[in-house]
Amino acid sequence: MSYLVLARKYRPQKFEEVIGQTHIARVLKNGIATKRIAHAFLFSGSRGVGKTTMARILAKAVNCKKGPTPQPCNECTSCREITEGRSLDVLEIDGASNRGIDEIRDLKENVKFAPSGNKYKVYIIDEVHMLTTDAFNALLKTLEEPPGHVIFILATTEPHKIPATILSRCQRFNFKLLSFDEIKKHLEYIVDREKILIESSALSLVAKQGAGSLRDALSVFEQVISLEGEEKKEEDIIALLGILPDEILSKFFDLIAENRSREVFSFLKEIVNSGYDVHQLNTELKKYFRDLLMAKIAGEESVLFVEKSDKEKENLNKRKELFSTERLLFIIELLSGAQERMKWSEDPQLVLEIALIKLSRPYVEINEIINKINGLQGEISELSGETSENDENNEEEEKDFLGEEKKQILKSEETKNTAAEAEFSNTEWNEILKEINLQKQSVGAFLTRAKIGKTEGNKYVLEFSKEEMFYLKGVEKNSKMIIKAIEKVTGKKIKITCIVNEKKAGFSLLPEKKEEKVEIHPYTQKVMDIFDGRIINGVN
Amino acid sequence: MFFSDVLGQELPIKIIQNAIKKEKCAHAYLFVGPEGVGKKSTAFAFARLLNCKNRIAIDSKGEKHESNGDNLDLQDINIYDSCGECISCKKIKKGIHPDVSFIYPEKKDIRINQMRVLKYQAQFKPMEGRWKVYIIDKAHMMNKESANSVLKLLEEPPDKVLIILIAQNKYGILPTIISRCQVIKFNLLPSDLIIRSLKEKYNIEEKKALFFSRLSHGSIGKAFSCCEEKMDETKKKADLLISKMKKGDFISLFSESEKLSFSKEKEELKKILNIMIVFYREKMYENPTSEYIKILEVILQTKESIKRNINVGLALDEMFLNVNKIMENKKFAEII
Repeated sequence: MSYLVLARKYRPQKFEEVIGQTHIARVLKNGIATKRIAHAFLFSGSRGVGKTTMARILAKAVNCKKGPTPQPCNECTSCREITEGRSLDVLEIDGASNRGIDEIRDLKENVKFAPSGNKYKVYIIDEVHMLTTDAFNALLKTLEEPPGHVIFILATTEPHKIPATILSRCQRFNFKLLSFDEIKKHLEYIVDREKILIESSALSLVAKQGAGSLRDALSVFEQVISLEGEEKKEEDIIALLGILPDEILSKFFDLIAENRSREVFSFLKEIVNSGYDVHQLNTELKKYFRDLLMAKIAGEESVLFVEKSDKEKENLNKRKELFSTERLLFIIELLSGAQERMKWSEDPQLVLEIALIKLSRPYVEINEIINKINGLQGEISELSGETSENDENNEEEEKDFLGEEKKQILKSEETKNTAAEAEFSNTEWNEILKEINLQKQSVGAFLTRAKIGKTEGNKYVLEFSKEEMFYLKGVEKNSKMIIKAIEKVTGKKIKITCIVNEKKAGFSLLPEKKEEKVEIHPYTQKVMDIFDGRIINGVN
Repeated sequence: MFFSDVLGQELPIKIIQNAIKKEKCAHAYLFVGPEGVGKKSTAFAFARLLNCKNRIAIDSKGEKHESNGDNLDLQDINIYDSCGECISCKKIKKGIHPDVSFIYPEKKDIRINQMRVLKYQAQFKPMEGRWKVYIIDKAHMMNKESANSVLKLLEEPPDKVLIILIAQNKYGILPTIISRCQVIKFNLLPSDLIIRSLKEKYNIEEKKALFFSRLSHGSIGKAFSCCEEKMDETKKKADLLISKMKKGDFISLFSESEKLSFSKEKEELKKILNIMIVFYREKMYENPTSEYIKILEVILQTKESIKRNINVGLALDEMFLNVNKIMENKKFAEII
C-alpha cells in the first residue's frame, strides 16, 4: 500500500474510537447487546463526523464471528474482510452513482439471497440523498419488511432531501458536529502515534480550521505535517493556511474607525500583493465587527466570548466605544453584501474596495439627520411667523421657502381673484381633485384643462377652448360624479355647465407654466427642428 | 510544463514538493484560485513529476542531479522536477499519456457520464506510468449529480490514483468534496512580477506593461493573452467612449451601443468595459469620492447584466446616461 492520508489511516474500527458520537454508539451497542437490531438505519450529519465509519463498525459488530457483539474483535475473517472492504456480505453502495431505479431493482433481486457465510447481509448506501424519487419509492417495500438476514444502513449529509416515507421506516441517528476540544484531543492522539513535533498553539489552530468536521481538520493537518522543519510552529501554519494575522485586522479596524479611506486602499493593495485572499479578508473583517457588535450589546464577559483570550477581550472592550451600534450594523450589512457579490465576481478585489471605501467614510447617523431636519423645520416656522408681522418681506421670503409649484399657485390666485372668488381655496380644489382621481382618474385629468368662468350662486361655468372639446365632453359625461365629489369635500351643493370659450379667461386649475423657465436641451431642439414640433409639457 | 515555469506560486509548489519529498502524496487535491495564475500548469507539472522516468533533483545551489525516477537521498534537495525528455514527459506534453487524463466541461457543465468513465478507468492499475492522474478542470462546473457521484471515489480511491480538482473558488463546490481534498490556494500575483515578466517575454514598454498588469489584476494568464491580442484598437475605442460619456455626446454614444449590441462577440464588449473599469479605478485610487465609486458600480452592474443575457444595447445606453449624469452632477452620485 502506498501512503494513506490520516483520515483513512486513523479510521476508527471500534465503537469506542468514534469521537464525539457517544450518544449514537451507546444506543447501537445496547441494541446489539440486547439482540434488538433494527433492519434499517439512517445516519445523517455534516461532512467528516463519522457516518460511514459508524456504518462499517456496525456491519462488523453484527457479523463478527464472536456473535453479534458490541465489541467486534477485528481479528476474525469477517471483521478483517469488512475492514479491507472485500466482504461479500457487506455491500457499500455509492448512492450518488447508482441512483436510478434499475440499480435499486438489482438490489432488490439480490436481497432475497442468504448471506454467504456471515450472519447478516449489510447494505450500506452512502450519499443516499442522490437517489431519484423513483428509486426511493422502489425501495420502500423492501425497506419496510426486508428478509431477516438483511440490514440497511443509509448515510447522508442532506437528510431533508429524503422522502418522509423512507425516514419513517428507518431508525434515525443524527451525528453532531465535533467540538473544538474533541478534535484537538484526537489530533493530539495522532501526533503521539506519528511522532510529530508540533506546538500546542499550532495544533489548536489546525483544530479550529476543521470547524466541527474531523476530516477537514485532518486534511489541513496533513499539509502541516509535510511542512519542512522538525517542529511545526504556529507561524508556519499561519503562513501555510494564509490566515490573516491579528495585526492586519486591527490596522484595518483603526483605519476604518478614523475614516482614512485613502489609506484603507493602499493597505488593501499591500495585503493582496503579499498574497492574502480577499475573500478571507472580508470574512475575517465581518467576524471582527460582529464580535464588536456582540460585545457592545451583550458585554465582553458574556458566554459568546468564552473562547477568547483576555487580551482579545480587552481589545474588544477598548474598541467598542469607537462605533455606534447603527454604524456597526451598517458595516456588517455592507460586508455581507460584498461577500455575496464577491463570490461570483471576476474581480472580487474591486468589490471589496468599493465596500471598504463606503464604510470608511464619515458616518452620519439617522438620528442626527432627523434632529437636523427638526431643527430646520423649527427655523422655518419661526421665519414664517415673523413674516406675517412684516408685510414688506412677506412675499419674497415665502416664495423662497415654498416650492416652485406653490409659488405659481399663489401667483394665479392673485391674478384671478375675481373669477375664483374664493369659492374654493386651493387646498380644497386639491382635495376635490384627489377625491375625483380616486374614483376615476381620467375625469381628474379632464378637469385640469378647465377654467372656471363666471359663477352665479351655486352655478359654475367651466370654460374650455375649441381644441379641448374632448375634455369638455368628458367632464359633461361625468358631471354628476364631480358634483358629488365637490359636495363630499366641501359640503356645498353646486351645478356645473360647460361651455366653449376661445378667450382663455378664467381661473385655471392647472398651474401655469413659465415658458421661459423651460430649458431646451440642444438635442430636444434638434428633434423639434426635424419634426417641426413644439413643447407641450416639460418634464425635468 | 516544469514547476519552474509556474511564476509566483512559491507556497503551493512548496506544499506539493514537500509532499513528494516525504512520499506523503495525498490522493486528492483541490487547487483553488483565480483564473490564469498557474493552477493548471502546476497540476500538469505535478502529473509529470509523478510519472517522470528521469526525475531531476535541483539542490539549493541550483545544481541538477539526475535520478532514476526515484527520490534522491540528498539532504539539501530544494526541488524535484520532471526531465521533460523521457517518453512519459513527452506523452503528457502531447496529451496522449494513457494514465494522465484531463477532464473539463464538455458542454456547459461536467456531466455524470464523464465521471462514470473516470471511475471505471480508475479501477485499473496505471498502464505505463507510476500514477494515474486525473485533472478535473473547472470543477465548480460539475453538476449536482456528477459532484455527488465522485464523493466515494474521492474518499477512498484505488491505490496510485491522484485526483486534482481545479476551481476558481470554493463556493461552487460541495463542502463534502472540499473536506475530502487537500485544499491548496493559489493567489493573485503581485503587479511588479507581472510587469517584469511581460517586459521580458514580449519586450513591451513600461507604460503598456503597467496598463496590462492593471487590466489583468494579478492574473498572469490574462496579462499574456492581453499582450497577444491586439488591444490597441479596443483601448482606443474604450478611451473614446469614456471621453464621450464625459462630454455627454449621446448621439454618437447611442449609435456606438447599437453597433456593439449587434456584434455577436461579447468578448470585445467585456474588454471595453474592463478597460473602463481600469480607468475609473485609477481615478478612484487618486481621489476616493462617491462619484467614482458610483461610476464603478454602474459599470459593474452593466457587466453583470450583460452576462445574464440582457438586451445589450439598452444596458449600454443606460450605463452611458448614468455615468454622464454622475459626472455632470456630483450630488446625483450621493442620491442614487
